[in-house]
Amino acid sequence: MDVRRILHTGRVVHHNGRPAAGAFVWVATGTAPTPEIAVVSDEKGYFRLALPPGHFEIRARSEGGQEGKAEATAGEEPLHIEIEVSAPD
Amino acid sequence: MKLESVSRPVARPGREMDAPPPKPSQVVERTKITAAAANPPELSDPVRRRIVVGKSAKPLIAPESTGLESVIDADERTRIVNTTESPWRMVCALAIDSEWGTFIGTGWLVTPTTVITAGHCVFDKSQMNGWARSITITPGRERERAPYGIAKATRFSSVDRWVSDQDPDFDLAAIHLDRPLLDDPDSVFRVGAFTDEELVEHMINVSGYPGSPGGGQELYWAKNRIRAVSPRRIFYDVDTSGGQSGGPAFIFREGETQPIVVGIHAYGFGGTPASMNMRVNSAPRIIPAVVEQIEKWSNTADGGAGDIG
Repeated sequence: MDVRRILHTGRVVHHNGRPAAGAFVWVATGTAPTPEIAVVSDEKGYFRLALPPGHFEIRARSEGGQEGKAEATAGEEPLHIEIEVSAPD
Repeated sequence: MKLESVSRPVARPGREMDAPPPKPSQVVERTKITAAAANPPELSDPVRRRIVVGKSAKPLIAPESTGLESVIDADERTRIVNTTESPWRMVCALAIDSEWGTFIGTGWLVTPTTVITAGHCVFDKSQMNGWARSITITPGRERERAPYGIAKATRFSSVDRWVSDQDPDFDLAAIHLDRPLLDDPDSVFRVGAFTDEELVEHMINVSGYPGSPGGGQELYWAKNRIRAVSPRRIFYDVDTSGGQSGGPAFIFREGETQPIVVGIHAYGFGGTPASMNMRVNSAPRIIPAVVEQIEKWSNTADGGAGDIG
């Protein structure tokens, strides 16, 4: 049976704080099962992501190919996950 | 156990309920495969050199035992550029619109008007607040190119075990199209339930449209072998990432050119039970009940949409 997932919110931004609209967001690693779907951020960079309890690495990729990641420990309380994307070094 | 089709509600007054679904077996005791194409698609020489066929006693990659990533060690995925060849033209990029956001996923043609995908690509109470509103399907997408056109669908079906319980072992769905996307009715995947003995160590191909690399616009493919099976899952050492949900995990039997899907890719490493002590990705396994359900979805003109609501 599926573990109950909580809907969290987040935002993808560029290094200058400008929202990254149309970015893909997905769970790259985790300690619990998550579907391998990718969420698309809205015009202000916001997204919603349902996670079961556990620890996850969330990654994002902007329309221009810039990538970033954030760590999240999900429980019963909704989180806000901020991901900054930038060009690879 | 019994599987029932559940479809996105659509307004269709006076429509009769479909016949009850077939009764599934608890385990795969015998092979059950959808009908072979009358004229199976040919495989080009480049495709023949690339895909994996039959069984192997050894994996192609030796995964290490640390970390928890869906990409196992170095990313072994290969970008497929010539997406008009079989089987790549039968794999579809999905753009999913729902009340709580938009998403990308992957599907594959089982008939010219039926796309199979993961259940969570069409229905997810937690992530979408229920059914997707619409899904845009692009078979064989290669960046801006849509060699077979683009379809927008609003009729979807899944099974009760997914819609009611979000049971990951039954994470499958169908997207019903209003018109054929490919002219060739034989350019479709077969779907097969095989016994444990048949599946273990079989070489497997997994393809889809990940968000990265490719931005959901490029088809990627990877290969290895099936590491393990459980009654409802298959596990494999094949690289995947977000956006590949719903993609085909398929095999080629020796001497055959039509691919057979044995699992619907859905979960990365986190979906592997700790008791298995493996770093592998997984897919809900095709069992006889799923073959029968997909045949029913394929053979019903409207896919059975409108059964509830």
